[in-house]
Amino acid sequence: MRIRSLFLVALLLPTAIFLFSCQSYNLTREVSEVKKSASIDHQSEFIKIHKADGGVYVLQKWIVDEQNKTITGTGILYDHNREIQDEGYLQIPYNEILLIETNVLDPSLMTEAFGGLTLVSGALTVYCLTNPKACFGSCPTIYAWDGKDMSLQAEGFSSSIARVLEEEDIDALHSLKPQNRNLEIKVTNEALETHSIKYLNILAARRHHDSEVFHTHSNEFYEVANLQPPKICDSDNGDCLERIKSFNDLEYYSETDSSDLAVKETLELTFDQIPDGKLGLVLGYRQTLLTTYLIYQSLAYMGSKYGDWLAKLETNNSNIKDFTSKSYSLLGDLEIYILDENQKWKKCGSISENGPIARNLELASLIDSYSLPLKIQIRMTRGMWRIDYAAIGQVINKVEPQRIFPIEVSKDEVCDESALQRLHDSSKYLVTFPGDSYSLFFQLPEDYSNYEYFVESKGYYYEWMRDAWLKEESQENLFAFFFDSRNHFKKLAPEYKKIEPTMDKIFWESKYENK
Amino acid sequence: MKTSKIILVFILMFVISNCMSVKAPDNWLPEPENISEDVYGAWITLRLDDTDDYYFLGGEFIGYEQKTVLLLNENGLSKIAIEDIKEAIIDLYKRETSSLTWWTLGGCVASVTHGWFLIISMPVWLVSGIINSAIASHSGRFAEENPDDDWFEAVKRYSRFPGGIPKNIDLHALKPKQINKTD
Repeated sequence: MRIRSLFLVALLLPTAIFLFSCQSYNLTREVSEVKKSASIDHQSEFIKIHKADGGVYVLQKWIVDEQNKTITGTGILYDHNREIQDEGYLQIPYNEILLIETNVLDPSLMTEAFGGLTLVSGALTVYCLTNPKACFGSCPTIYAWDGKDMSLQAEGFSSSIARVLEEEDIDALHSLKPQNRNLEIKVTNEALETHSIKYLNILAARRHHDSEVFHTHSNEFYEVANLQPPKICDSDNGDCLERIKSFNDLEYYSETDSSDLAVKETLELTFDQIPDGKLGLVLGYRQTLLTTYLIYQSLAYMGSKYGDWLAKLETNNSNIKDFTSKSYSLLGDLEIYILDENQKWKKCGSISENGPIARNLELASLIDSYSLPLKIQIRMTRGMWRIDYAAIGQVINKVEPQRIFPIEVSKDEVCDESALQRLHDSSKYLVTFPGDSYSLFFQLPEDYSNYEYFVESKGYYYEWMRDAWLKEESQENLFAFFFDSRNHFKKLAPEYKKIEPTMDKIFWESKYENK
Repeated sequence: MKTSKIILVFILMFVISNCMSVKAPDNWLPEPENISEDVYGAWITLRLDDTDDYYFLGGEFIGYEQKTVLLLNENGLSKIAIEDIKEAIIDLYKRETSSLTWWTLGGCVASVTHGWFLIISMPVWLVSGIINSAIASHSGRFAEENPDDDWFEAVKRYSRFPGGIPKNIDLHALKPKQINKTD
């Protein structure tokens, strides 16, 4: 009896400490401009309203009055030195507001929420079962009319694989051909994932007839004209011009190194046709399945502890998030270098968008100075990126897009008022499960053909654990993955090489669809 | 487990819990539950390369603009260009790591009384203690080596002036946060 008691004490006490003493928090601080005041996170106990003169209001109870363009509430006004200037009932006109800040501190372990995550996968193809890390997955997929069909054009918030990683994502609807002012967007869940969509809006950026609008990695929008493809494209695998000179399905990509998944390569572009004025580099690209494989591999290592790790991630934002981001940063972004007047390669930007499904089309970098002929290098991890298009263009001006909210949502052709309300209410989410498909309807501007359209989404998603992954559960490998990534990526390289040639086929065949 | 290995694990545990300990003065950081009403910036610690030796500079994170970090401490306002920064650590709120370390240590000592079950109980105490210490010491913290413009743009929301440095104020007249000595 004594032995049994001691055994229990030995096991249960540390567990109790783990669960109750380690009340680390997950702080979500949102800072937004006043035009987004309607989406203030009401989970925040206080809001801080920053003024341009450095002063700040702290309100505990507040009301946003869109009509009179004011926020009113009870609280305190501090000056830039944080001395109290006023307190009590305060009314703040929009034009006094520089930024609105909310803070949500979540101490919950959320263990229950993840208890159901270890679910049996029974619906995937034989391919998927035999090669489970190639299974289709990657956040909400977004379809729109391309003139012939509803085609896949974007994937929302692909980096947000947990609530703590929730972020806004903007993707160009580059192939959208609106027929009239009524636009339908189909948002689907085609993987074994749970998607939580906070909002999904359309951004309409006005352009002139001979120009296009592209967005940057920092979500700024520029009108660009006179796009010119390179004259030469050199890669480690030889000439790549045919693959990158137009935005189509013909992409440049290489295979990973057989001894190290983090080995880099360089594409060198030479331009002889240089448009006038300020220049920008436009890139069409997406990821290969390498990051999907690595994410799935890390989940496989977590195995039955996946729920615990997610709980830690959610409650220890800066800790595990740091480890995971450092691990993946070994693979890095697409880094843009330009040959300057002194014939030295100078870094002028980097871009990255997770997800192997939809092609991104972005203004990758603004070019300040260069020598002739203009030479640009794209440095990237081998086998991680597919480059579809590269061109330089004349950057005409910055554009402020118009935000268009959905006016109707339907599921299975039945109007879903609740889903619409959830997408309009920033404190709620539209939660979707495998096989779900929603149609969102928007009303475009009257002169709808004079705009470029983008989809703006925010939310997060959880991958479901697959039976086949559980076999690889290993805390030792998991620690190596995150803490000794450089060596572990070398260890994984031969295994990835075995499945690399067939991954694409398996991935697309394992889409989860309601039959 | 050999004694030397146990000592090594203890050292590791203390290194994890202490090397990341908060560099802000005692009682400077708010409690986690008070952060949403705290009107000051986070505490920022910068590691600067001073030729032969490293040195640290810490203070309230006032803002970030034009690739320059502004921080304020009892000695006044400092402006540091990002190219001079080798590492930046931002602490948002107070954390409790030392009590966890001592708790784990106590558990390990107590496991001596478990007889042969010491073989199980002590490693369980050590592993859970180390993991907990590591996790707790990183909570509410952002750290980056050789931080670049993108990183500072992302974290400036934790400064006193997240919307940028106000134009018409005398920055050198800014007052540092007064520490509540009674806490």
